[in-house]
Order: sequence, then structure tokens, then C-alpha cells
Amino acid sequence: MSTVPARLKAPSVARRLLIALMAIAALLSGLLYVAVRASSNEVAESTHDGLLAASAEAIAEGLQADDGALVVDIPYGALAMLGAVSDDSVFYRVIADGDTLTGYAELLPPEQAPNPAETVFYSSVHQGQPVRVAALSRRVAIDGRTVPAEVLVAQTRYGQEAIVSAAARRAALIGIGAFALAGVLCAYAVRRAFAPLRRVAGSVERRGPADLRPLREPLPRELEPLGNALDRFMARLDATLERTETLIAEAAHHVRTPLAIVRTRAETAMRRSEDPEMRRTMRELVRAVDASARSADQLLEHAMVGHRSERMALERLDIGRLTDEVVERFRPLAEMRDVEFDCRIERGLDVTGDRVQLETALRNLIDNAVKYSPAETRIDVTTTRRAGDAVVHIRDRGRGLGGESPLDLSQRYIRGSNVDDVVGSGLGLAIVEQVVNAHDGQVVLSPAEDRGTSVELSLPAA
Amino acid sequence: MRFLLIEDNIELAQSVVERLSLDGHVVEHAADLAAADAFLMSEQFDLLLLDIQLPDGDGRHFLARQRRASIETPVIVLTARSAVADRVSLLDAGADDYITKPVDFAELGARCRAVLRRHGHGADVLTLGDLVVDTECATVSIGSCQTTLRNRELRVLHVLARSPGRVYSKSQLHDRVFGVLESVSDNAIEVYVGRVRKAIAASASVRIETVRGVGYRLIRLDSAA
Repeated sequence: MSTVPARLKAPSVARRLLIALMAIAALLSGLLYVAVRASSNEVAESTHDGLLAASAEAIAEGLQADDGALVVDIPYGALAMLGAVSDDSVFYRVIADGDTLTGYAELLPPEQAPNPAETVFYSSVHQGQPVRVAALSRRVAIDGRTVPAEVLVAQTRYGQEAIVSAAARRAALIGIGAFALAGVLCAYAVRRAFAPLRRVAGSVERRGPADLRPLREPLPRELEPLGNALDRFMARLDATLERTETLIAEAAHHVRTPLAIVRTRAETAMRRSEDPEMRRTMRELVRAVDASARSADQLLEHAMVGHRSERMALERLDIGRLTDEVVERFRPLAEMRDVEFDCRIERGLDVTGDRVQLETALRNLIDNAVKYSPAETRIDVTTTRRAGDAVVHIRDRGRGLGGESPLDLSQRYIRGSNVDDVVGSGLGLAIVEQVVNAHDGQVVLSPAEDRGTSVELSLPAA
Repeated sequence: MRFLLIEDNIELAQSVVERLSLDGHVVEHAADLAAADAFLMSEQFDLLLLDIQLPDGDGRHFLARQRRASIETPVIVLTARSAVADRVSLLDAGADDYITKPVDFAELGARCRAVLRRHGHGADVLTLGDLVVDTECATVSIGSCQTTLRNRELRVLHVLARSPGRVYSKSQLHDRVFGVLESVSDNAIEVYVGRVRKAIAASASVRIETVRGVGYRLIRLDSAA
């Protein structure tokens, strides 16, 4: 398996979106905080102003003429009402005709005298403390003249500031709460929006190595170009693999004809000669030709199996029957050397697999068994069911594994140390392993009791 | 046996014809399907050797035509294609068996015998006096006593019994019994001849004689030639 080269990673789209949404949420929450705070400040201030105004009015009601002069009788409630709200200090001043009638003389009047109809509010400083002042003016009729009078009522702002701070805290909590809620909702919304993407990615990843069919997942519009490109790519790959297989088959043909000519002529020369030297030479020639043919054979088979595992044609087949067919194929060869097959095939043992690959694997195993069996020995072939698996067992009475570890033997081109006189290229077991891996199965080689080799091929039963 | 070899590569065809002739077979050669059709219209053959890739058509179509015309001559396909997928379809198309090039002639012989046996033409019973050799059943009967022989033992006996009186050297016997690449010891033939002698010891009609320095031959002990 080739590893995918490390790719430069662009930031996650989902994350970018989420960060952007969170930034917006933060901004809005901030604005919400500012708005709530400003609004509560305004409400608090106008409430306070209203109280101050009411107090000033009450005092103004007490303005009257007495003996040609303006006097004021301040009702108790006028100042008491201000004390009800907070412990802030209250100051007042009543000005008649420019002179302070009563109250705190240093209390600063407004810059512009208010109209009789309206009350003005302003902030000032009195005795070093910030105060809020309400001021109104009245004209009182005394002895035929109207005397202008002003009433100022002031209160320190500590209570007010406490209210403002409380309101600010509340606003902050609202802002944070809003941000948190927005955050959660945004994260959820982003997740949901990207769900189709994750589904498609998951479905592509779950594809087997064999699967070159077009995508079946519904694609969001934004992914359509990508999906189409992927489908086209897979179609091209499929076509390439098919062409490669054809090429492989043609290569086989071209290689074998000249080899066949050489071999036939060598066999003929050997037949015609009594000379041991010549006979030995011809035999070596034939051996060399067979080795070449076999190498080419297995290389091509290896490549073919490799390609086929990218495009397996799965079907349900009876592994016992397939084994039987392969054994039948090798019977004439075995018979030549009086090697017998003892077959115990369980019928109806189905597996799901690629017929061509499985047949190739079985051929390689049985070919090995026949090749390495001495004359007049027996090869046992059984197919059975074992714990959810279909197991094919082949046992020969040949020379065994020669001390090599079975693992080594299934590496390409490594052959046992005891088989130099038998023609083989060493690819056979590697091919079997490849097929077995593609089918989720297992192949185990071990020395058989007494002598020979035991091969166990297990595949998941269908 | 009469073979028809259908193969487009002339050099290969010549080498195959030559090799098979050494075994005493008669081999006709057709270089393409048209020539093959011509042969089949006028002559009978015991077996067809068919190269599946021919210049004027796919051997499979030729096969299908033969089968449709109910021509039952057994066919062994010579194929260079190694893919299992290709081989499977050959049998479906009507071939009796196939063998890959380069051809091992011992294997070809074994497959021919098996195919002919399946077609019921395998019966090759040799009778020499009281000895009856049945190659299909691999038995030797002397009178009422029957023994089964192993494949190689049978081959040794068959070669000698087919041409009584003819001497075969050890090499010649070796070539007719073992494949070219079989790893057999030098005295393997001696061993097998010994076994065959034991099997036919009870016969009053034949004996296997050692011709010192030359080889072996089967001789008739009774008056018949």
C-alpha cells in the first residue's frame, strides 16, 4: 500500500465559518451590552429627574405673597420624597427676584433661566460633590407686580451611580449570556450544515480498494464539480486497468512462442541422442526454458491478481467445487508420476469472492503440492467448514519447507533451500497471499506430520 | 495416432510435428482455420491440437462451429495466454483440455490419454498369448489372474509390448516413460523393469529380456511372432 503524501492543509471550512460567526456574535453581544447599559442609564436618569422635578414643583406650590413679600412654605413631603429613593444628600434653593429666599445659597442656578412652563435639568457641583439639579421658575403676583422666582432642587448622584453600575453588570451578564447561547447555536448550525460533506467523505473513505463505481451519495451543489471529477477519474482508472490486463495477456503470448520452439527442439534432440552429455545439456536447456516461462507466467499472474484486487468481481461460489475443478486439472500431471489425490470435498461450502483470483491461488497451491511430491505418494485435499470459515487443506508428502520459515517463503522470489532442482520462480506463495489478503482470509503453511507440507487456506464463509 | 495440429507459427508447428512423430504419431499441420476446415472435411483424426490465437479467427469460434456440427473429435487447445479467466472459457467453448506453451510433451501425452479415455477411445488392449494388457484399466491379466499396475510400470510394459522383439535402450525407455524434467535416478528404469517382470512372471507367453550393453526387449516365448 502506498501512503498518501502529506498535503498542505488549508484551514477547515467549518472552523473558519464558526470563527466568523462567533466574531459576529461577539460584536452583536457587545452592541447589546452597550445598548442595554445606555438604555438602563437613561431610564434611571429620567426617573431621578422626574423625582427632582416633582420635588421642585411641590416647593413651588409653597410660594406665596405675604405682606408685600414673597415667602415659601416648604411642605415636608417635598424633600422627604427624595429621601425615599436613596440616602443621597438633598439641597434646595429658592430664589426670589435675584435673592436667595431660603436654602443653600451656593447652589448654582442654570446658565439660562428656565421658562415658566418648563423644568430644566442639569448637572453641577455643590460642596465639591457632583449633583443633579432640577430648576423651574414661577411668577408670583404680589401687590400688582409679578415677582420672578426660581426653585432649585439638587441631589448627589451616589445612588444613581449605584443603579448605573448594577445596570452595567446586568447588561454584561445579558451580553455574555447572549454570546454563549449564540456560540452554541452557531456550532450546532455549522455542524448540521456540513453534515452532507462528512457523509460524502465517509462514504468515499469506506470504499473498498476494488470500488471504482461512481459516487452514489447525493452531493450538495458546491461539491458537484469535485464529485464529477472524481467519477471521471475513476472511470479513466478502470479503463486503464482493463487495458493493462489486455496488454498483460498479449505479452504472455509473445513471450511463449519462441520459448515453445526452443523447448520442443530440445526435447526432440534429447530423444534422438544416446549420448549422456548431450542428453544432460538438453535437459538443462529445457529446465532453463521452463524456468523462464514460469517466471513470466507468475509475474504476469502476480500483476493480474494485483490489478484484479482493485476491481474484484465478487460472486458467491462453492469453494469445494472450485477446488475439485483445480484438482481435476492437475490429475494428468500427477498421474504421470503416480501421485494420487485423496479428495474429501464438502459440498455447498460457499464463499463470496473473485473466482479468477481464488482459482489462481488454488492452482498455485496444488501445483506446488504436485511439483514437490515424490513419485508414488499421495496428496490429501480437503474442504471443510470450521467456525464460520471455509477451510481448504492441502497436504503433500514432499520434501517439506526445508527449514525455511513459511513467512520467508511467501516473500517474492525466495524459495526454499531444498528445491533448487525443481523449476519454480518463487512467486507462487506471494500470489496466494495477495489473493488471501484481498479476500479477508488467511493462509498458513506448516510442516506436516512425518514429512511434507501442510497448507491451510481459510476464507470467511458466505 | 492421427493428430491434426492447427498452429500459425510455422517454426513451432514444424518442431511439434517432428517431436510427435518420434512417438510414432502421424501429424498433419494446418496453418489457419480455413486449412483446418479443409482437412476436417476429407480426413479423420484421433485428436486435434488447436492454437487458440490464429490469424483468420479465434479458435473458440472454430471450436463452437465444430461442436455445432456435431464433430466429436477431441480437442486439446494450445494456449499462450496465462490468465485463468481465459482458460476457463476454453472449456466452456468445447475444448476437452488445454495445455500451455511451451508444451511439455510428457504432459501432452498424459492429457491426450486422459481425454481419449474420457471419449471412450482409450481402450487399448494388447493381447500377447496369455498376457492381456489393458491400458485403460491399467491392468495386466494372465489367464484369470489380474494385477493393477502403476502408471509408469504400465508405460514400460506398453512400450515393450507394442513392439515385441524390438530392443529399447535405457535412454529410449526413459524418454518414453518419464518426462524430460522428472528427477529420476539413473537406475530408475531398472527398478521399473524389475517390477514389470514381477508382474508378468506368471506368463508363459512373454518375457522381458535384458540385452547386455544395449537395453531391454519383450520376447514371445510361444511360437507366434
